[in-house]
Amino acid sequence: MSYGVTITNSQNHKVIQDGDPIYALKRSGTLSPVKQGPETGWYAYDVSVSSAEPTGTEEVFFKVNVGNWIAHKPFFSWLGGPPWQYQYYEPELSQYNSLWNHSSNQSTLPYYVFDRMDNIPNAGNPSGYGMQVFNSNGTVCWDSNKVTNRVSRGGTVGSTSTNISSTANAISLRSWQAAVGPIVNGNRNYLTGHVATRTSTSAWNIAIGNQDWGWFARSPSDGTTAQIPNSPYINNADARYLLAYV
Amino acid sequence: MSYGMQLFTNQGLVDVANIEVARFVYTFSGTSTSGTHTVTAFDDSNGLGHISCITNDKKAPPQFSWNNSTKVLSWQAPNSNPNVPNIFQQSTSFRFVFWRFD
Repeated sequence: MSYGVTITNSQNHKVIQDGDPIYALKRSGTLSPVKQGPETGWYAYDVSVSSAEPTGTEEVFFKVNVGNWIAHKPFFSWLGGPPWQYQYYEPELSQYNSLWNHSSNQSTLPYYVFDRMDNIPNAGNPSGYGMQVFNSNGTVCWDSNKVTNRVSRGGTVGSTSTNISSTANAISLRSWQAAVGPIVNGNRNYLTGHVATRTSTSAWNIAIGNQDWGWFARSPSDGTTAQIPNSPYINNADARYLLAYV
Repeated sequence: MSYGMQLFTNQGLVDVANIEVARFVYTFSGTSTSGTHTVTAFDDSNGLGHISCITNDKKAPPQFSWNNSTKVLSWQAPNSNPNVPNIFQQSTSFRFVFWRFD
């Protein structure tokens, strides 16, 4: 560069620079579960009606303690119907939109919403102290009075269990995967999808796992219970994650 | 610290040598369940990029893939099983956001 500001870390990755705004903390809080169970420590949170719901260029990260897991399920409560062969009824947790399920030794779920620096209130405004960096368009790229979003790494996970080495303690996760069964006539079984588990202080695992319980199939023609002999997928897709420190 | 620079983060002050940050590169809105969009400003050749999708209508985001050679993002409805009820309702109001970490 012939002019301007660039500060890099030990990996020569830019930390402060005058090209693009970096991400910073916009708001944070704690969610309370809208539903509990069916297993001890399983909770559901309706993010869509909370201030944790991201909009625009925001992204939300949830803090996960070691040993706990979190899953994302953008479901509606109405689950199928004619002309489908089966209907699914009465999931224990999956009755809300933009839902995140969580297993924890505490029921509340801390969240942190980050956004680009130029969308952070008062970023780049004169404060009388500190340091600010702008690009050539006058867009604030960094402000020392704001909380910098410290990220770890992001990626895509398919159906294969994936271990991720990271000391990050928070995750943003989007998943499209869902399957149910097998279901024996009249009985219920788990709903499965991508589950992100913080396995230790230095590692995460993302794999297809149990997210919910209580699903069974019923024939829409006569209302009798039906069985699903295998474990058919509903949606078969990847998950995308981004880890961060909060 | 005896020298250098620290940044204020959620975990307090962190040495700039040990911190990774995300910077905003590009964003655009989508209203169709499938499509493509060219983003010349984004590069993921070193694995230090990220694309997120935020829905505005509380519905399921599209599945998407990035071709770093053509610089084209493609999105479509997830691969659904035609033999079982689909519990996902596809979003028609969403935003893709492109991040870089390097």
